Parts: sequence; structure tokens; C-alpha cells
Amino acid sequence: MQAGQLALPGNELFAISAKANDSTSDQETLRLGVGLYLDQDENIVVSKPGILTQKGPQVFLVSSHQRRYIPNKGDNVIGIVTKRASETLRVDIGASEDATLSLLAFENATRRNKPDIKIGDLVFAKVITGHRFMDPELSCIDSHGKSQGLGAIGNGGFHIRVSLQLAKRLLSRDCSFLTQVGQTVRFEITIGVNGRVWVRGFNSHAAIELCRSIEEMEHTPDSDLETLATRTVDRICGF
Amino acid sequence: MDPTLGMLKRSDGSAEFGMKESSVIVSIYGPGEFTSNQEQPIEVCLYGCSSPAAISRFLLQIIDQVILHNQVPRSTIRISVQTIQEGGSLLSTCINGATLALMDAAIPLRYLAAAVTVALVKEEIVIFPTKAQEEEASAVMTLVFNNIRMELLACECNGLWQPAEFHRCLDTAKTAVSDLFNIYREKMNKKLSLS
Repeated sequence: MQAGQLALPGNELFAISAKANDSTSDQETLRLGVGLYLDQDENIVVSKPGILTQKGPQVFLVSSHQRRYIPNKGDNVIGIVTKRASETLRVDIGASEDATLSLLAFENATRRNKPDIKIGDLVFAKVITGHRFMDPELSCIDSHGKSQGLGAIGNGGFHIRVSLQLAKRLLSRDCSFLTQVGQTVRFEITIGVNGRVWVRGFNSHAAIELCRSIEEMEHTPDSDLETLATRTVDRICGF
Repeated sequence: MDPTLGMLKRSDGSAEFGMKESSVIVSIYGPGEFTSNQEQPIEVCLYGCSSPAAISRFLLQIIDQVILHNQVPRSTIRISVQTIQEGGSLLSTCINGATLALMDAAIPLRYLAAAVTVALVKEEIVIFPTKAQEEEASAVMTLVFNNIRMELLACECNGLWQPAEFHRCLDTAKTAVSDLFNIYREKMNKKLSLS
């Protein structure tokens, strides 16, 4: 099987022992990413349906299309607060379990001065532990104690759920949709890698149109994005 | 009928699958939090069919085999099967629909499973029999295969048959199952080419 091809669960890549006999790469370690696993016969088998991707000479993974988020250390995610305890918040980030966010993990927070975050509020936080055997943990500050844009998201706006692929696409440097719309229309947007997007426009009509276009982007190939952007701007300006 | 993936927007994975007179919509939520104290890793719920207990028990055991549990620990996967039309071969329709929905949800699987119902009607082998054919048949078998070397995962057989007839049914089923795996591949190709 080659990189770029469709991989289905059960398909075998190659046996590790066979790879080890290959004289060109016998000293390097093979790194298996998401969607691949090692079975008891030391074969590398695909576990998720997707496109086999090779990120480096010895790094393979399967990129699949899914809506459920799997927490990974370092991801910036948008979560909804579901519970507030005295020291921590429970935040729903769309993973298999709610994440914990310490109330002291905010900029300028102390034991006496905790942030005023209520149940139902949105927070933009970084995942600091994302092991599959534990609850994911979040933080709204970096190691220097600065927020770097993280924290509670407030003051209106709309929050929508999109697929993980679309969130990645919106964040990628090649995607010109947001910059193109932003040249004419003022808006604020926060994109969580967990498939959550928060949008605030200069009025609610603008925000709704932007949300609609983002949802339409799911089915729009890259070549049509410019047309979508012009259409969005026209709709927001009232044509 | 042509199977479709991802029609339900709120669930993590969904699929519609049908064969001749039966069709189902399967919806998957997961991996998620446990809803009961029993902490079952898989929950199966069937709606709209006349014998839900037998089908859901069989389906649960197959899915238990198929899902890679160590990749999704401490979580539960909820599978809801809604019967749209109940004709013959309902069990295999449910299994195939569930496999397509599991792929749509990108839940880690050990392999893919495909099921075929085979009936022995007057010495003739019928694949995916209708309800009328099932009633006339001397034996009805549901055979489930995986896509690694076409290994037999499970079988549910009712009726009377000779050993040689069983082997003929197995061989006929294997051909039908490889067609099913091609359909799965085609559907995933279609789904991924839009992203």
C-alpha cells in the first residue's frame, strides 16, 4: 500500500520483520501515528478508514474524516463549561470525557481572585494532557503565565460545530476564505481544533451568514472557495 | 439499494444500508461517557423490528470482536439501529449497516465485518433471501466474514442441511461478501474525496 491511497481497517501495511531486513533502513525506528496499530504477529495493520499519509521517511498515519475529537497535547480547543467546583471546571470539548480546567490556570488568577466563569460559558484553552487513559486536562495560560489569546470567550457571537477536517482547513495557511471575507467585513472568529468555531460579526446577521458559509465550506472544494467568499460578502452586505 | 454514509448530522457516524426487502439506518455515538453503572463498552439498541433481542445480542458480539477496545478505553460506544423496512435477511443488513456506520465514525477497528444471509430453497442457494423465500427454505444461514483473509467470524444457522451443502453456502457467501467489501471501499472513497 502506498501513501495517498485509501486504507481500510484490516488492511496490512507491511510486517516489521520484513522492513527490518530491508538494507536501506534497518537502523531507523518506524513511527506509527493515528489509525495504525501493531498486531500480535508484528504486522502493521490499519485501524481507521482514511488516506494513508507519510509525514517523514519513517512516519506513517491514517488521516480519517471524523466528528468526534481525540484530545492531543498542544491542541487549542473551544469547550463549554458543564460544572464548576471550588478549584476546577469540567469542560465539554467533544471528546469521550469532559476535560478538567483548573480555575487557577488563567492569567492573573489567584486563590482569592478566581475568574468569573459560569456553567454554559465558552472557553478557549490548550490541551496539556491528552492520554487516552485519563481525563484530558486544559489550561488557559502558557508556562510563563501569559494567556496568549486563551481564556473565556464572551460577549455574544455564535458557536457552531463542524467536522475536524473543516476546522483544520480553516486554520491552515493555504485557506484564503477568512482573509478574503475579512478584507471587506469586520468579524472575530475563534477556531478550536476539536471542531468548534465561534464567530462574532458586527451584527448578528453578519455572524449568521458567516456561520452558514463556514458550514457550506464542508462541501466546497478549494477551487470554489473564492466564489464562496465573494458570495458571503455579498450576502452580508445585503445583496 | 445504494448505501449512504453520514446522513445524520448530529451523530458521530451514521449509515443507511438495505438489501432487497430490508433496510436499516444505523447511528453511532462514541466514544463517550458511560451512562450506567454497568460501564458496558458497547451498547446496542434496536428499534422497529419484531425480534430485537436476538438480533441485538448477535450484533453486540460481532461488534465487540470488531472494535479495538484498547484504543478507546474507559468509554462507551452506543449503536442505535432503526429498522426502516423489515423483510428477509434483517440480521445481515443490520451488521453491514453497523460496519458502515462504524467506518463513518472512524472508530478504531481490528478489521471490517460483512454479513450475508444464505437460504437453501429446494436445493438452490439464494443470497439475501426475501421473507417469503426464508419461510420456504429448508435452511437459513447468516454468515459473517472479516476482510483479513476472508475468515469466518460468526454464523447463525437455522434448519436442516448436509455438510456438503454448508460448504457450498460458505463458498457462495464468500463471493457475495467480497462484493460487499468492494462496496464499502467505494463508499469510503466517495466520502473522502470531498474533503
